[in-house]
Amino acid sequence: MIFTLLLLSIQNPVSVIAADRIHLGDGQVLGPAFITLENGKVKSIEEGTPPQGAIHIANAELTPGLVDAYSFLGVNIGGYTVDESRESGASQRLSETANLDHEAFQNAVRNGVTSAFLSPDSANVFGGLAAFVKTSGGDSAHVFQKAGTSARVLENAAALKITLGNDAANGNHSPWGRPFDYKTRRPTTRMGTVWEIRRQFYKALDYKKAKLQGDVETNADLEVMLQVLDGRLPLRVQARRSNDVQTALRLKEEFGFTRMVVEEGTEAWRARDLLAQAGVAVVTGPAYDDVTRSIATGPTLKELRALANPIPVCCEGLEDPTAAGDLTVEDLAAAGEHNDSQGDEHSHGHLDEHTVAISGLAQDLLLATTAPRYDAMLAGSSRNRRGEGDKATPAMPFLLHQAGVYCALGSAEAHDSALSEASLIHQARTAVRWGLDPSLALAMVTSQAAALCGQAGKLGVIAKGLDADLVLWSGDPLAGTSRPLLVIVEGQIAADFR
Amino acid sequence: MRIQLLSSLLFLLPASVLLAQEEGSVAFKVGTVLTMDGQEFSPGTVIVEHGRITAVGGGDLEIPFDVLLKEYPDATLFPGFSEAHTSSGLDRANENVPIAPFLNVKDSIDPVSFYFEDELRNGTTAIGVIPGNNCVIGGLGRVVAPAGMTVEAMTLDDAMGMKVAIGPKSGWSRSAQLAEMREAIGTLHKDLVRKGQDLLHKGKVIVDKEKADEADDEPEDDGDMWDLTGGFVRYGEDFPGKELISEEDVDVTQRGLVRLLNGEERLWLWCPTSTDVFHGRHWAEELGLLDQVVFVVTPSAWKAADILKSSGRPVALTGGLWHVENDPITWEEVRTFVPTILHEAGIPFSIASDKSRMGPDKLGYQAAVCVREGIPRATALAAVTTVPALLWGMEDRSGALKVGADGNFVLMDGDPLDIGAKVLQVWLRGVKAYDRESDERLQRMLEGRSR
Repeated sequence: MIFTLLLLSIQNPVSVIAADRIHLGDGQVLGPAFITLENGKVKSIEEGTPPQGAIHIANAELTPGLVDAYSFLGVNIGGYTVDESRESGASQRLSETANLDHEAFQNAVRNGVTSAFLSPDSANVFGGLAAFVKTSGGDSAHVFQKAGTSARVLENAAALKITLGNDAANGNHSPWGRPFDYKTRRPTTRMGTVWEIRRQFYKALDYKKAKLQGDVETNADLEVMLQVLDGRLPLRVQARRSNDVQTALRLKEEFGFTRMVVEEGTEAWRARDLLAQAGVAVVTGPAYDDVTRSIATGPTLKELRALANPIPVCCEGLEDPTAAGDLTVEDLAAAGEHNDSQGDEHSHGHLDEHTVAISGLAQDLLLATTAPRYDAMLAGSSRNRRGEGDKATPAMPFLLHQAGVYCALGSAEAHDSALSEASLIHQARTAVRWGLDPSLALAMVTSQAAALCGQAGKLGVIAKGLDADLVLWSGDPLAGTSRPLLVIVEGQIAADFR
Repeated sequence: MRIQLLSSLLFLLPASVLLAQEEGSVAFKVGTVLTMDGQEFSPGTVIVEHGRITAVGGGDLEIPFDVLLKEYPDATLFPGFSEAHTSSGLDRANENVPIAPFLNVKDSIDPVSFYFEDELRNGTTAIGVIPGNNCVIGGLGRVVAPAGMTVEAMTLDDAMGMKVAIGPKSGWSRSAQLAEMREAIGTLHKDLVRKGQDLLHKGKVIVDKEKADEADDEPEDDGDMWDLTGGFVRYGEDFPGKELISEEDVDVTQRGLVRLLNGEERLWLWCPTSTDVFHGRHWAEELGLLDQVVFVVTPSAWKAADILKSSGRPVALTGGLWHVENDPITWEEVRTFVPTILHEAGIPFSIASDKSRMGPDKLGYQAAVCVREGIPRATALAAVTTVPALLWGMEDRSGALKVGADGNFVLMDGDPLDIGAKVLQVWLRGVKAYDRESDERLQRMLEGRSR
């Protein structure tokens, strides 16, 4: 009996917690107020002075537990979690293979994240079924826990993940020149990736027809795709480059996906009006506050072409007005265009003698030698971000919101390292620094994030009857000088830094 | 005629006043001045004349008639961030020879690199650029401002010091690292002894020749000024001919090493771990160079805090602020916030932006993290302003707004530790180097323009 009591006291449930400001997650902020918890749920929210014995720390502010709308917590650490032997692993469940004991979850909890969307890795075109989990609780080592860590899984089919762009094709190769292995297959290009998606969904449509007509062998992968086609399951599309985002929108139109969310979307801001028109939401990946790392700031192809193909000497100071003053790269680009246009009245008959037409190869070489300097030096390049989706801006959440795109923030692999400061709350802070309204930024990591993960009205807000997932911050949660003092998951203290 | 002359004179008058406003002279009246010299003025005034600060005070400070006054009643003015130690802005951090005291970052700094542009945009006013840590003796660094078209124009001070690595070069063991260092110093000594003997012999030949040919009053003058400037070698025990050795007598690849051993260079001693701190201190003490040392450490060196403290030398903390290790038996995670350890030990320390891993890397953010973890605000700010200046030996000129210091400062729309505060302008030596409103690249990103 004493032993049991001892263990229960270790569990340490919170009953009343008070704060000077309580952010409810949906934009509402209460003044000095307190929350009563019961059985892991919020029993009541009351304004005024808290009763005796309540947890109350001066200047502290309370928010809902943060919801990470796009993460790889426990996903790609120590071996594969999705099967890569075929391109369509639509029915694979990440919830069964993700390492829920991994310390990435502790790092997330420490930074105030109480629930997270786990996205399958981007190793194949159809990555499988995403999971939605609580980051704490369900300790398998705990004697009195009903279930193991699987108790943390709220949703084992939160969405179907598909991947556009380089990642899925990466590593695949043609049968020539290399030994035959399971990677000897299509797709090896962007086109091939889209082809694979289209092929599978048409297969699913045929399967549906066949099912209606009579007896047909059950195909788990195609069943999942049918759920997506029928709008019963959300579709997550990883698309970094702007043209990949546009491809996703074309696929939506073609197959009539009703619940599509663009994941990571490094360059989604460039297609923001199209996204808004199509009503497609975006979950962003981590933003970098370093401009050299977040935007490819170098010259455009046009400018490079102009630099490689400079204005002929005979033109300098004569016809060309820019030669007199300070030449800018833009001027050069304009001049380069002038050279290209053979039919232009200003072009000279002898131009070809002085200028070397830049061939495809020469252009590639030029780009290869000059591009690294301008390359977006993205950390976390293991996910192949380098060279894909290099035109990022930390202002993306603001730009998307401005254009009317529903948006949430994700941390991707930011919580993998115990040393990283790039946690989810930092993404929200960065978004504020880059123009987003603070209450919106908070919503993008709480209520809006929950909504995009199919948890609207269940998580991401503080409301009576909902799970008591709370974070007590030492000050304004969006200030760089604040830290979580207390992280509570379902009424239990998950991290205590008081 | 006279009226005409008078009117033209009247016309010239304002023009002459304008002409009197010198380049590099400007006065700012702002909402708050954080001097980083222990004072804070609200409102505050800073006056810069000919590139140097001539007065700092409250809102009632009198402005000289020939200095252009700018008023920003809502802005905060502070000295800007200082990056104590970095290899950013170089094309490559290290040459692939272990002993390279002849290298100088001035030959490698790329003034138009985006690194400097971005640092300027983020309100950094001084950066100590020095060769990387993957070396034994890396070469000379210099302190630069992140603005200017040439290295010379960027340079604030060229005497930052020499990179010396105690922590092993990649692929090397600690013993190989220290053996290489001893070998280089031993070889130098051998060469110097031989050179001393040569010079003694040469001198003897000249004397003999003089005796043989007494008609020659003057010794043969080959027009070489260096022959008259012996005494370049000032370290270690005496050996025959030591005082005759001039700078020119020493091989160009070794001169830097002689200067280092003479104690003429500040030593940026790379000691990434606590054991390296011990070896580093021992090495420096043996050579009598401890007074020149700045310990460049990573968070894992915190366990040698007592050695660092008793050395009485400052520390440049790089590569993050946290040290995390797992208990090998319980697998319990042990997290140590290293600035707290250094602060409590009373060791002056600078912190660095952290470009090594994903996440926030700005000096302002790092300082905010220090405050978040309980470091006093003044200490956290000092770690990114005055302490770097102290490490560079530029405490009179840089890192704080005080009379006589360089007119380098940053105008922000909030507190430097507020990560949402924006850098409005950066002024270097009293000249505007950055203006947010004309930052085309930033505007492009903020507005979401593709081109």
